[in-house]
Amino acid sequence: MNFRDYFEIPLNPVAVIFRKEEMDAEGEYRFCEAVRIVAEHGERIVINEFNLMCAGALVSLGFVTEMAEEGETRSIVLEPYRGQECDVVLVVATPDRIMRISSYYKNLFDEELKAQFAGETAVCGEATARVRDTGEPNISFLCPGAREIGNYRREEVVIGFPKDVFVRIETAIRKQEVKALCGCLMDDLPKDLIERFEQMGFDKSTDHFFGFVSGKSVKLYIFKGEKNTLGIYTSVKFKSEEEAERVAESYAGEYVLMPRENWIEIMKVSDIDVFQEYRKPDFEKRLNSEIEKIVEEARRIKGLKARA
Amino acid sequence: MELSRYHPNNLKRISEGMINIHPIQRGGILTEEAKKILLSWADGYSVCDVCLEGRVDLIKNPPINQLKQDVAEFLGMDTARFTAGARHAKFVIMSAFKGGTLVLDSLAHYTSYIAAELNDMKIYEVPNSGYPDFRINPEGYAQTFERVKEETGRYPDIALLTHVDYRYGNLADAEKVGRICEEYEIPLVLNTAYTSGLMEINGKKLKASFIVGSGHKSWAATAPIGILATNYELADRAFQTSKVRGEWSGRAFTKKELSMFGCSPVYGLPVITLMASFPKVVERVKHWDEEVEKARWFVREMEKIEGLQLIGERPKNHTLMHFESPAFHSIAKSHKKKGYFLYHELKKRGVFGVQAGMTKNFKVNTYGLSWEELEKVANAFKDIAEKYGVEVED
Repeated sequence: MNFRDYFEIPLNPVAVIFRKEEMDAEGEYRFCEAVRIVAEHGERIVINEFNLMCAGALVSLGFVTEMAEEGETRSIVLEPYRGQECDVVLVVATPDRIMRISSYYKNLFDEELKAQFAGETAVCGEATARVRDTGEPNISFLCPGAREIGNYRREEVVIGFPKDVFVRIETAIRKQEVKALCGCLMDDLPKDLIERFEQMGFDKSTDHFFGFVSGKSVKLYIFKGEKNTLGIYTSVKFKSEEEAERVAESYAGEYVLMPRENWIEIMKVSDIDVFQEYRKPDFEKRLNSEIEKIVEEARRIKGLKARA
Repeated sequence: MELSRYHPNNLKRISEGMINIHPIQRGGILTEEAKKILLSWADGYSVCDVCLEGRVDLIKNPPINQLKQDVAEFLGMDTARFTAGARHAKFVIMSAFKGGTLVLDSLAHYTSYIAAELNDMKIYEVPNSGYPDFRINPEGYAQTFERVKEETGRYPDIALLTHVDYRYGNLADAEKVGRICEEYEIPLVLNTAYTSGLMEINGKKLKASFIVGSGHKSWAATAPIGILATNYELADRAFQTSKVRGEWSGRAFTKKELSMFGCSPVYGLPVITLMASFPKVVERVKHWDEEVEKARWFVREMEKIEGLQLIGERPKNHTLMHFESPAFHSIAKSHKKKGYFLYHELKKRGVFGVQAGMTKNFKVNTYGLSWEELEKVANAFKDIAEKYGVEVED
């Protein structure tokens, strides 16, 4: 699967090839307009100093310098991208597609996509020349020329990729390197709350969190309600169901003991209102203190079997 | 297009030759009888050769019309239809209550929610008990019905209970929920996607107005096929026939059932394999206790692995189970294959079906495994644990 199909983008990616020799060119175009035509109709368009109708593009693309002297670029070829050699690949897309691309990019390169734009010399400068010069992708929100003359739709923006970055993404798509994440929302816990527990060494399970504390498996479960209290759990395994029940019956401590066959689940509902308090600096300390106590109690309960 | 990728040589099933413990696969494994007729009914609309009535459920030869009634009888209901899956069956029911209010358990399959959403229904959830049992308390239905009355001024139009949920494999007390629904005169949809076809279900006893089943999950049929059984009181409402008329041609399709798109899309292998397996299915549900016994044995063996623990109700009443495995997860954190190590290690030992990448917690289904196979699976897990230095009890 290629980039366009993977992200379900209606228009073709456009290959931009800078040339140092002058090529024959027909028609008259603004650069942004030519890009949009190639993207939509799959045509090949050659641009040179004489058929490029936008002064800003002439400068930003290097045909002329700001002092109106001859620049390095003599021609630019725009073609639908088919894997050919090129300098930049431009993609015309909507913000929802950019969102998906940026998520993919982050997963693949572990860095965020950036958008540096001023709304001037946009497709030519921001999405093409800058990308070529810096070797980094960039998103442009276009300029008045592109919006008013270039035939871009109101919801369209342009992202430019250096060729090697684009190739790397297409390779990753083909090899399915970035795995899809589960599409089901299992809960509505805030992301930073999950991260807070993760920082404390607890991993998110389907409905709860778990981790090891002093060699014991400890689970945390948030009871949702007016007060989002935290259930702290650990468990002790016994030889038989009868033994577990005897221990649970003889227990007189402060924790709730739930025999579950040959296991006892030891539980305490903490006073902590998780949603209110997880950002507080002493949250971890208070929680750890509760956890250490329950782990200690689990060890003591394990010892009760001899007397039960 | 690289068409060679579709060559039969490249379409070998990844799980071939292995013991497949994938939670959704065990009840759908074809019987020998179903395998025998695979090829002769494999062509597209194969059962439609002599369809004279214009609807797949009315075809007399092969005896689909009879099967429909036998399936209904088997489920203790009056009549049945075959749908594109349990999800489609739920959609069919909810389309009869479009725009109404639905109460459902908070462990329901996502398709229950989506079927409601498609039919503009307002939903209310019956909470579950949370960690570690995640049980649905039947009384929660009465409480939620009252909550709905308080908030909307009237009781809900319909209730749904997931007999065994896909997350923890908990068997809900359908009888109690059925009794509550009967008291409130609210029709109950019992989603038996993981139970009917595996264990005995009697809709009348359970006071269910609708029973939804999954042929490919639990009735030894090829996908896609679902079962929707109901009683005659509600059949007309659920299986409304078309009333549309072509404004120019005057064409009408009065026999076609609306929510089935006229004729439910099970025109070939799905319904034929369900039919061929049906006698075995009728027989096998009588042996459910043995399956539960095997599942409980399996839990005990698995829990010999340090830190590995069953989540969900205890004792286990179903073969679909959910384990939490902090020790395997710790291994995954430093393993070069990360979370995929468990999947690969199991594959090496001829066991398939634990979702690739899952180590924190995983689900398996032991339905229909022989004792020998069960032992092989348990030993595979233990062997992997020992290989990575996790303690395993004798």
